[in-house]
Amino acid sequence: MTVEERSVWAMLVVIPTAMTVYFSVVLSRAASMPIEEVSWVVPLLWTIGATILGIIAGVIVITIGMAIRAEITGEGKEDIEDDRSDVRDKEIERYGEARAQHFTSIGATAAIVLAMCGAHQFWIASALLLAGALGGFYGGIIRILAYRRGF
Amino acid sequence: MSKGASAGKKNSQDCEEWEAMSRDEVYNWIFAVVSVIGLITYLAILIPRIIGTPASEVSYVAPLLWVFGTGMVVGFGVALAVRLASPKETKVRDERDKEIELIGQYVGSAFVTMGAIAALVLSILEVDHFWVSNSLFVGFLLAAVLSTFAKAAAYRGEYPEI
Repeated sequence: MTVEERSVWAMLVVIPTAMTVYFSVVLSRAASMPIEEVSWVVPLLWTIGATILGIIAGVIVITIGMAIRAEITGEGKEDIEDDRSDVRDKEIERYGEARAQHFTSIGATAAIVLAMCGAHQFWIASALLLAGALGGFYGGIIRILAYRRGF
Repeated sequence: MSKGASAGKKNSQDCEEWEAMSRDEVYNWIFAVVSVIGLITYLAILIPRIIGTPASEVSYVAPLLWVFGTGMVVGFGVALAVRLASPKETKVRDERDKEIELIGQYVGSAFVTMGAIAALVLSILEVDHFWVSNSLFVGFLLAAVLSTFAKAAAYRGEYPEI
């Protein structure tokens, strides 16, 4: 498993977790008070930061897990050192991006409509964040399938 | 060989290539022209409006919708007309068309993503809606212009390494 693939696996866990936390925090705040008073910027920035750090941490955890498994079973050692991304990684990344780009387009269109209607910035930012997360998650699934089954 | 003769030879080659243009390449040129006109028109309407006026007072929604709507109708209208007028054998899509389509998607999605990230930052800063909408819309227009031009170049041999 290359580092790229490890990061995709980490992404598949981290993105849904981060989204669940963000939306449960801000939507519960939005439900109890007017949207102008909700502090949503700090949770949003935390969500983005935590997602990035979470993916890095996930790669480290997977690598350690692979090392332990290699130590016990005695096989797969060369797999851990397989840490440079190659042409296949790049192709798979591009393939996943191409499949997931509809989410970005739909999200951007939704955000334009929200902005034209004068919706609060909170909704625009959240729509864009959600679109990015959905695109990342869907692209991640496509990429894992490509790694495991070919494309 | 004189300069004129080589230029003439090049021209006749160009003509042969022109005849060999696939349906998708013709469509791409239609969308390239439409998106360039759309971008120029939109900026020509918007820039004079924003100069000297606070962003919150600029009315941009009508021009945005008009440019989008007209562009779609004209682009797809002309493409449909070309499709109906062209002979049957030019209507096949081959492997190359599909690959070039991917190049266009790749370039286009980069600009849509940039527009979306800009809009996310702008809305975090709670900037006026004018800027949020327009970073997204101009991102879309730039995506359309640059992806069609990348595809046009790819059809003529400038295959980019992506």
